[in-house]
Amino acid sequence: MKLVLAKDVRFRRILQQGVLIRQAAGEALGINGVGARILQLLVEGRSVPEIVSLLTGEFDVEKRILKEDTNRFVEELLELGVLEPAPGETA
Amino acid sequence: MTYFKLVEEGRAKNCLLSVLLELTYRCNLDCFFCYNDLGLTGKPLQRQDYERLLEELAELQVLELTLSGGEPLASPCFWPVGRKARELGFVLRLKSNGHALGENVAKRIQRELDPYVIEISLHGATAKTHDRQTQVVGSFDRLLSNLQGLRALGLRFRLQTTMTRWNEAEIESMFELAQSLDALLIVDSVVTPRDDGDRTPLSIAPSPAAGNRLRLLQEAQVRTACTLEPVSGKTTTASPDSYTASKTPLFPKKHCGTGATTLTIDPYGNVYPCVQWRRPVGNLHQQTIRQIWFHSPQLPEIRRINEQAHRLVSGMPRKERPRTFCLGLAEELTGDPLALYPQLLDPETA
Repeated sequence: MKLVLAKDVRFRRILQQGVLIRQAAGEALGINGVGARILQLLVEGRSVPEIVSLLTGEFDVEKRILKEDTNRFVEELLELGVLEPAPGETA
Repeated sequence: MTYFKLVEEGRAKNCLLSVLLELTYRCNLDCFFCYNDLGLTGKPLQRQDYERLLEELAELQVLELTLSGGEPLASPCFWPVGRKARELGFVLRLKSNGHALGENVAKRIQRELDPYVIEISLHGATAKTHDRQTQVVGSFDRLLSNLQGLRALGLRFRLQTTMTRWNEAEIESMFELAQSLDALLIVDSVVTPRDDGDRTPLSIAPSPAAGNRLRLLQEAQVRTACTLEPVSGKTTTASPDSYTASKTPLFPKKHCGTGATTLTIDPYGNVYPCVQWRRPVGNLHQQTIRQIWFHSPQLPEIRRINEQAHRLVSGMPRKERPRTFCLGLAEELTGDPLALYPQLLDPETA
């Protein structure tokens, strides 16, 4: 499933980390470097399996753990309303 | 790391986070104390210049973009630049006098630009005072009507005022007015000279007693207001954190964001460290913003002075520390960006 940032969310990678602004809530979220990298790849249109493959080469971590962590992170962002399914995709 | 920690780190490491674009100095009001240098000339930036600039700023991961003026809506570039800013994912702020923010324009802003906030100038709590400062009869009534329209649409706005001798008696009423509109009111108690050095605006600087009243009001407001700023600083708890190992090297702290996290660009492409400090660090007709940010010969000096200012202010005994200290204003008023200018002194002793 392709995911996109929710309409009111702005995202930047700053100093190897990430900042999310939820405009409607007037809220800023800081995310760590790995989370920012995952989110950047999601915003670029990559799917979770693609991201896991890419990051396995970037980080010294077992693919299974990376997959679990990435899925949990994406679920968290979906719950927070930061991400939503791309138009035409279903949750 | 929280958002504010990140901004602090960005300031220390010279990470450009926020850019203010003065799209034009044209305006539909004629505020007595306007700081713009209306005599400034040059080759105005065009739509394609702005588009290139915004693309570069997005690549640099700049977070905030502010469209200002003059009145930004008076610029033919306002809509295309605003749309481009949205497309590129900036947190967009608009600074407007509110005079043109009627229903149709407000709806269009909401639909096409989706700004984070619109910062709107309020000059008094009565038509007599507000219109005296704007020098346009009817501007207060029109502003109130437009603010109610913005509120009805659900557009986020906040009010900003510069306290002057003319409106200081109405400050309490202005806070009440803002509260009635569910808006935050930000008051600046320092009237500044114009950017061309003209000190005429200082003739309506507020009285010391008004400064004290304002301080009490602001303290009360801080206790009760819900601001539109990103304040939570919450950090997500994503588990990938477990395999990051970050060490934060020490960098010298700075007094403020000028030239460290911020830049201001005037309608003719001149680039400054911030809106107040008008010491040019480059021009977009000659250089790209990336070249200016990383290679301007002037910016290292600006940053060095900024670090000195941090040491100067933080080294003062707490009781003597000025509530605000502006490097740009210090340079404009005294010629020395590190000089303590008279407006800094406690109103009781000024």
